[in-house]
Amino acid sequence: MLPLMVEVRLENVTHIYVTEKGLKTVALDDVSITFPSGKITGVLGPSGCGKTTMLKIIAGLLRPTKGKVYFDDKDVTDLDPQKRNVAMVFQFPVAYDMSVYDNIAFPLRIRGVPKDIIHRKVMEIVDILGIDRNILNKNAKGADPGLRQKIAVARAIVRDADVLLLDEPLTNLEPLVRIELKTKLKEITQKMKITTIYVTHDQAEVLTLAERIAVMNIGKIIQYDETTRVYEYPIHEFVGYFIGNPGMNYIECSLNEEKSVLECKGFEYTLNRNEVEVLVKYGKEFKLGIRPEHIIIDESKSDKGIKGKISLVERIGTAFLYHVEIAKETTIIAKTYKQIGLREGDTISITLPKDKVRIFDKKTGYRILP
Amino acid sequence: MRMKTIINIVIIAIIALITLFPLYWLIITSLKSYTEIYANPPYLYPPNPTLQYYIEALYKFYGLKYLTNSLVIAVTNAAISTLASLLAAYAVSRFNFRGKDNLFFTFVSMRMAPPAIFAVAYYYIFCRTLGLRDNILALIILYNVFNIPIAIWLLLSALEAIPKDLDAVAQLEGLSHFKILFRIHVPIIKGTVAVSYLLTFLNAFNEYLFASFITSTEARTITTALQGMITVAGVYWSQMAALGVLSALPGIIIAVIARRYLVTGLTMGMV
Ligand SMILES: Nc1ncnc2c1ncn2[C@@H]1O[C@H](COP(=O)(O)OP(=O)(O)OP(=O)(O)O)[C@@H](O)[C@H]1O
Ligand SMILES: [Mg+2]
Repeated sequence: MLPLMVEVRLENVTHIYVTEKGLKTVALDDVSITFPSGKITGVLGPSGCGKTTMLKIIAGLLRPTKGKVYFDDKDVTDLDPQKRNVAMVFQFPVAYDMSVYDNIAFPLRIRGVPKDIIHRKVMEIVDILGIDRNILNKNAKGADPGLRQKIAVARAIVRDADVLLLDEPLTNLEPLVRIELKTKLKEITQKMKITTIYVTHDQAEVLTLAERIAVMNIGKIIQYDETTRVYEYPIHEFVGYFIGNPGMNYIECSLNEEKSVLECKGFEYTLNRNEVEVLVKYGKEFKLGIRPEHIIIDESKSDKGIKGKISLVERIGTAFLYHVEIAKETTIIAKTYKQIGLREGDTISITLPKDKVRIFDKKTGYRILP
Repeated sequence: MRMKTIINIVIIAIIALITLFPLYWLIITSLKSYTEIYANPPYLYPPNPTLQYYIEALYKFYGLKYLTNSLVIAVTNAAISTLASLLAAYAVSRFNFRGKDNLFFTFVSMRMAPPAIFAVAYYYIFCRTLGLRDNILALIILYNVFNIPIAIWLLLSALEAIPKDLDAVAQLEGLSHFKILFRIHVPIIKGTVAVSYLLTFLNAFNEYLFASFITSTEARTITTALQGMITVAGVYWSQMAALGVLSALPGIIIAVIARRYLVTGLTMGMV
């Protein structure tokens, strides 16, 4: 049986948790979103923003306080989780108290699938995920978290669910296991063409997996778009900061008296007539945003560009991060993969390419330009 | 360091002696004749060991019948109370319902009063209303009253330790609550289930008070039978001791076999 491709749609979903003491937490606040069928969608957001709550509502483990859930055009809001054909992998890997093999075979046995088919499917998935065939008879209870999570993933995909929900499946794993499982997940999800929602608060994970991402904060979807657009054109300061490693730099600016340039801390940013026309509607205070990897470091030491002092050099992976102090208490981070002969304390000259600069409203945080 | 181990061994030996000596005395008494028992100075061992008194206890004094009664009651009651408690503990652990917190307190608080104060009520309920006087069914039902709270208390804390995400996965895989409990949870907490069964079994097997006034001849249990051996014609010490040994056996066997389980199961229950 091939999985049916199901489109998952939330309509004005609000979820409020009420604790025993009567305390209320609004975990989801009027969320409407459509997850396209057969594709992987990423859901990103800081801890506590309601990601797990959203998945549980889709799975049927929670009834939303308000709003509706549709699978294609079918209203499933009141449908039991047993009847939704949704598979979910949780943040903390869980495995049943039985052998590794039985764990993976379990969902098929429950459905009365013939033994030989079960065996074929289990072995297929075991091989895809790189689970050692020799440990299939060991009890899964004592397995390490990496293996337990592989088992959980295997169990989720073995039964051809219509919707696959992955709730931070890699967060609690060791770095090496994480990279391995990430690669496997990518292979599997691309091959399977199953509607997949991948939740994480680690953006590096999702940027490589998902075509579209939804960025959430405090129970709301802030931006939902193609991954590259979210990255290039963050709708809100928060998105720019949250997506990217490190996130976008923000420099406070104000429009000068003549309304011709933005006076920023440490430099001036020239504006054309059209830009000014748009900006004046929003007042005088803005934030200029630029991604660390878009900043150009001027090695010729020419006179143009913004001058600053390197206060810190960091390495993340193969990249270098230069913390450049361009004014008092204003530091921007430039990211480069090139080895340049500069050290802490040196003076550096950087330029901000015009096509990569975004301007945000200081009051609301929303992007104005471009 | 050396001194400490020696002291430890001495203390353990004293404790062992204190607990085991009565048992030893019971065993040798069951192997001694009436005159040997009253010999002065007393024999510290049976001079002419014989199993005669066991045979008499089992057949002449109906020990076999009483032992069977006790076993049937304990086996059945432990099964019922463990099963019922498993369902109850699952409900308390996994569902939200009104009065959930008070329910548990009710169970526990019932254990705080001395059981004897319920005796009259139980006598009335079982013997008069239900007509189960001298019927083992009465005890099988009655023992649930104190066995279920103990079993719930044990099983609940074990179930609480199972992550709720595991249930969620199982639910999504299509399992009903019954299947989640019996196919997913029970294998995980089988140790505690076993402890719960053994403890409730022992409770039922060793119970004396209620058995003594609800049963008389047919449904008589082994604990109450012992008392029946003090007759106007005299006390049959040897036979009584033999029956005593037999009635102590299940407890001893369980303690030996399930020693490890009991300790882990009990400490798990304590949180
Ligand atoms: N069972 C619950 N009872 C009460 N409040 C809850 C419950 N579960 C979650 N919350 C609250 O609801 C909000 C959203 O929780 P949720 O678990 O959906 O966040 P999340 O985005 O998945 O976070 P994380 O990244 O930490 O997993 C949080 O403020 C959380 O404290
Ligand atoms: Mg979560």
